[in-house]
Amino acid sequence: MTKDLEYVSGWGGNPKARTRLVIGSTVADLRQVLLAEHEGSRGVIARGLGRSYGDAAQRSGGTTLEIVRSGEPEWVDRSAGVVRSPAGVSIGELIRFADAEGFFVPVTPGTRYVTIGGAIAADIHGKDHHSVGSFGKHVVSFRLLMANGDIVDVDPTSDLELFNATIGGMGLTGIILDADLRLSPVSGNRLDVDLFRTNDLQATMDALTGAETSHRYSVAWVDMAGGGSAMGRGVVTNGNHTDVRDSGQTLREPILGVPPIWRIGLVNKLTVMAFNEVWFRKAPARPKQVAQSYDSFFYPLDVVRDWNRVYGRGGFLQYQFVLPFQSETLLPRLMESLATGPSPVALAVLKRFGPESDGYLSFPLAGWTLAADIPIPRAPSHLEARLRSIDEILVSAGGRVYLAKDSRLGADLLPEMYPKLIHFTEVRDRVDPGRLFQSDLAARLRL
Amino acid sequence: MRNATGVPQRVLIVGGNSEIGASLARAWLRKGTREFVITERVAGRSADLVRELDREGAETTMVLLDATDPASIEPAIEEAWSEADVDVTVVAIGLLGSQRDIEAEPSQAWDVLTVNATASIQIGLEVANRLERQQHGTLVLLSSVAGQRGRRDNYVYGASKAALDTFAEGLQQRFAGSEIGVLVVRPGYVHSKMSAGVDPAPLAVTVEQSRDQILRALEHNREVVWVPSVLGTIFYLFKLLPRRVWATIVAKTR
Repeated sequence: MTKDLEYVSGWGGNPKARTRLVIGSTVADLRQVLLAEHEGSRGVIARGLGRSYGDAAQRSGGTTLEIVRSGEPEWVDRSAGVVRSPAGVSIGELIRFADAEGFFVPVTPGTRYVTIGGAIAADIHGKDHHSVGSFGKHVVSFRLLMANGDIVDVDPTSDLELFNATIGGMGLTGIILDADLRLSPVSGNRLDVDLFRTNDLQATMDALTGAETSHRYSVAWVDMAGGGSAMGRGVVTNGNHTDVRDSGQTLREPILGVPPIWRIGLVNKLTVMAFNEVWFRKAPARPKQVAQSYDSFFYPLDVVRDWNRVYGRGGFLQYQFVLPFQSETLLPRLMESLATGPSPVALAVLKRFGPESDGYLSFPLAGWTLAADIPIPRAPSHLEARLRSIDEILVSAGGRVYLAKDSRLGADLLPEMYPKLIHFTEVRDRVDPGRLFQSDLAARLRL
Repeated sequence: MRNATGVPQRVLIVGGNSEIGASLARAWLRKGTREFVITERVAGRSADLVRELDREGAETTMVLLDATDPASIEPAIEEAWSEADVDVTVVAIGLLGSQRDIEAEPSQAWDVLTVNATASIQIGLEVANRLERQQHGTLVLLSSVAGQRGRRDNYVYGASKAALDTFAEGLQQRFAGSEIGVLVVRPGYVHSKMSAGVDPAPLAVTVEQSRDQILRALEHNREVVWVPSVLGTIFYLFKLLPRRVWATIVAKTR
């Protein structure tokens, strides 16, 4: 047995990969790793902070290349808010850098522990997708280390196909070294937040639709643990930047942690019901305006380090799909079938997406997106059957699941969910015909 | 790649004629597996199974493998891996033979040992090397309770399964602490084509019962599964018995 292999997994903890884990920072490091791969190797995949939920940033039997930031962000054009950031810099680090000059990242996910490289590779979205689109919309250009060892500057005029294949391309076109990004100007570092409860799914959907023009940020936590009419009730948070500036720290470090001692996990039907009930009750029944920090508005879960450990050894998965608006009548049915069965939906988030972007494998499209965290049971066949039937409904409705969260989709459904896959494959045939860049996700989905 | 919910994406069944192998393939199809590779000794013999899998949306590749021809083994396994990683391999080739005929014509022992032991072990090693390279995947080997203690009625068959069983134990040690699994299946009497003509033993099971227990064992990452499971306890005790006591039990139950 090869001894120098390590276990790596995504944020969901399942599936695990045994892989050669290499840490790389400088261009010379990274290039050396690529050149060391011999003919017929199992391939290399870049990994940032490991916040993809599934198997996107790992390679069983191959090389997983953890990218550590090689420098600091720097301004390309300070007045226009264009910054050049190494790929290994995190969203949180970029926020700190930008804040000093009156800027904010254009798009942030629900954690600030993602790298810029990962944000581009997954073409991430945030609570402001309906207003500003996905992360890739704000990428001016990037430098890509390609399979042959060359470094190319990629922007929409130099190579539009490679640009569109890399944004959302799950790291399979090359290693992103750094990127020029257009930041959002902000005058303060606090948000005006409207916070209120909704009593059923229709009310939640109406509230999100209503906020579309009035708020840059809009999202709802929804209850999928309580059955009947409680299904889909939620807590809506709509937010806008303000010119209020808090003199304290922009972002705080985590104050709590979860020790790695939970074999069985704390997430079960009972705890999930209780948690969802409390979460609903603690939200104000009538709309309430509050001023919130970036931490409390965008990153409530970042307060607890390693919160994924509460799911125990079996781990969990996040099933995130988007359903086009023209098929929105299917949403209650999809949520119902997600919530039925022995493994409960612990946490669910609903949001409206704006128009689709140009990335060939970009996830968002105009429709409703739902992200549901589900513990993986010891015998997961029932869960899989449930999710598979939802996959099939999505395909027929023109929807899709998010690859950065996925750990289980079957390869047969991918081409229908991502019709631009054919363009992606063309680009990959051109820039990496030998498939040096390989992840377990790519192998599973026959990408 | 096996996914987070344990569905193998690509399955290799060595021995398309095996009822347990075919039954497992159908079960995985229902769970969402869409790629199958099935080996057969004579082209076309597993056509019904292939048609059935493909009709349900699977993509099935047929490969020729003759267990009595060592040169046919490596190319067949290589072909199974040519498109993508294989997540689960079931080695389901087997030859029961009639003890009486073998005694009358000892050259027949060669066939039984070749298929059940020599070829199965060669296949197991070819698969193991590929699992080691990809660092994930599972190998299922069909052993038998007959390999646990010698019995007057089937000691040549028993000897072949004992060889396979010992091989499997060592292979499990080779992959200890990795993401690679080796499952040894030890059935008692299974009602099937293979056992037709042999009187059913106590605790006989159906092909479907065997299949379900194998699937459950895989889901729980077991190393050994007895079919039915009570045979585990029974054979634990049988193996403690002195040879003379065991011989008496065998003689009394013939």
